[in-house]
Amino acid sequence: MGNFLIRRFFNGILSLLVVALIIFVLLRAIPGGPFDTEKAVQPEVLKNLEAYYGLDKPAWKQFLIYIANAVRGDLGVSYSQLGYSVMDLIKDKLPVSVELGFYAMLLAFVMGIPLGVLAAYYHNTVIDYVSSFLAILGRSIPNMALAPLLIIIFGLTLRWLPVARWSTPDSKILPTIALGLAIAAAITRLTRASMLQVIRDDYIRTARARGLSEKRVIFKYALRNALLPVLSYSGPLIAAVLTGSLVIETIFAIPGIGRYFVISITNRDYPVVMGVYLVYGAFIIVMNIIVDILYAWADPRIRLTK
Amino acid sequence: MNSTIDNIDKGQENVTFEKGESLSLLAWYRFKKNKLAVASSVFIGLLILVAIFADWVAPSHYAAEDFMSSYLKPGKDFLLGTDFLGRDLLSRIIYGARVSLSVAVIGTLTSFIVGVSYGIVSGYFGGKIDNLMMRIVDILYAVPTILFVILIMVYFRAGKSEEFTGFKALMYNLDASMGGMLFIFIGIGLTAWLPLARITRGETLAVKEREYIEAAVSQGIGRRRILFKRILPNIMGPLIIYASVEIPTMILYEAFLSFIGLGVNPPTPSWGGMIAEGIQGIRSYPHLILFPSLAMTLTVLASNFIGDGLRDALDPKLKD
Repeated sequence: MGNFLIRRFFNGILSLLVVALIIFVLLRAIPGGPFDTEKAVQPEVLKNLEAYYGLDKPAWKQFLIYIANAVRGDLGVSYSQLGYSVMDLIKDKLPVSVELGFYAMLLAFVMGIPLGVLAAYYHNTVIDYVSSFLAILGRSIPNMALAPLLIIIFGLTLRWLPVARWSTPDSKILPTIALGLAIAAAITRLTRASMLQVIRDDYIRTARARGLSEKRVIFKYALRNALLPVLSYSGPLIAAVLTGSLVIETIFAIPGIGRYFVISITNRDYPVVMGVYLVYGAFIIVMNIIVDILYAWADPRIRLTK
Repeated sequence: MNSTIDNIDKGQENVTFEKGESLSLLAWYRFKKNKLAVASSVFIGLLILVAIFADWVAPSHYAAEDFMSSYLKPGKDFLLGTDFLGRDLLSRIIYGARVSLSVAVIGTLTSFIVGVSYGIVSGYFGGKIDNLMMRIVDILYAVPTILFVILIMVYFRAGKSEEFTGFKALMYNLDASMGGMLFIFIGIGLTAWLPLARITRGETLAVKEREYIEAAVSQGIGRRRILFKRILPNIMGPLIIYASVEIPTMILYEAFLSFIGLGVNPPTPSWGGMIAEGIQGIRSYPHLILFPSLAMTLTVLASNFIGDGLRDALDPKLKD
């Protein structure tokens, strides 16, 4: 276990380094620089600016300096917003995105697992069909189509909920649904499929033969095992939530980190791009490791060797 | 493939094993029984026709502006209304289908070709090559595809065709003449192949230990022939299933890119771009957002039904 963790940790660090290098190279390859403006900047001014931000050094040196600073928790300062360090920006914006993502995942599990269990339990009945249809519908409505729809229905027509922003609890309802529904659909599908498989296993038959109540068989025996595949899929699902939040944050005008993925690149704000993408990558890597650990903890048959 | 044989309906048993394509024929029988999938195929088929013959079907050109009639509600002259430049919404949705469907087809194809060739090479050669190739995939996996697509698209979109010569200029001109679709294809092709590479590698690893491969090797058949004639056909099933299930993802990719402004070049219409444009006026002109959303949802829904139908037809084992 310890061995596995150490290896995964170092693999993660290696991944991050390579990702940083790819982003670094790609960014420098994109035409245009961070100090391009409508009016041409005087060459002396440009030179001073570049010297100030260390952009006059050779590219490989810049990269090494960046990595060395990043290790110490210094991700540089934004080029486009003066006096704003990348760390500050991440501290300001990331919590909002994480909160949104957390609510969406919560909704997805709270909705998806019961629906999936119901569908499997009432396999090939109306309940199953309805739940499966809802699942495929949820999977098919792109969040960029769902979000405006929710705004039009609940915000503008019924006037039940605020149409934008991220402040009062009721303003968080629509973004959470818009982001979480597709994930809920995916979890419904997974839960249903894996429940159907588990229910046929011998130990379920044994449990029933012992005269245990149906509730006990389903929740105590079947569900626990059926949730394993769902758990192993939640790594990619978390990634999906985070990218989805980019769209949702734009539509609902939520001050999260999502929009910096695009703005920072178009501004050629190198430190912000690097910082935002690396934090994101690190987040995904850590979540994947946590999911693996949880998985091994939940299923003793799996040893953490790979 | 024995499981497929076990699963045939009785009546078809004698028809099927005389020709080489019998397995796909069997799959076709199963697919035909799935009404939702068939209806969806008809819908997508019609949509493809509409997209191809957009010039004749659409009431007007997608970029035809009429300032006197901007922001019109759906009505007699403009069936679905007009946008802020007075462009006919229905025409733009029809032309937008072109973009969505081309990306669905070509994006899937490119990622399929890249992913399958990568995975099959990695799996077949094994050892150090496999290790290195899969480590690269692992590393790229660490960052969500969409972020790489954004970076690559910015890289493409930041250049202008006048600045380049030779091959680059050719690519940029081609892209411009396609309304910006070429670089979307490339961007998706470069990033969406990762899962396919993994699946292909896994399947190759499983198949290459079989006796018939050993037999082929002992007969002295060349590597390339073994790869393409012995291994590839035997792992095609699961790969096609995966690719067809991923088609909606491609449509969503394009919509996402156009939504954040890195997709097709205006005035080329894309459903994602139309939604992004409509957001500003959602309070007063909800129809601008409603119709593109509906078009996108219906298309994704239909492709999901087709993908599921294909999966159930090609691999009945997977169907519960």
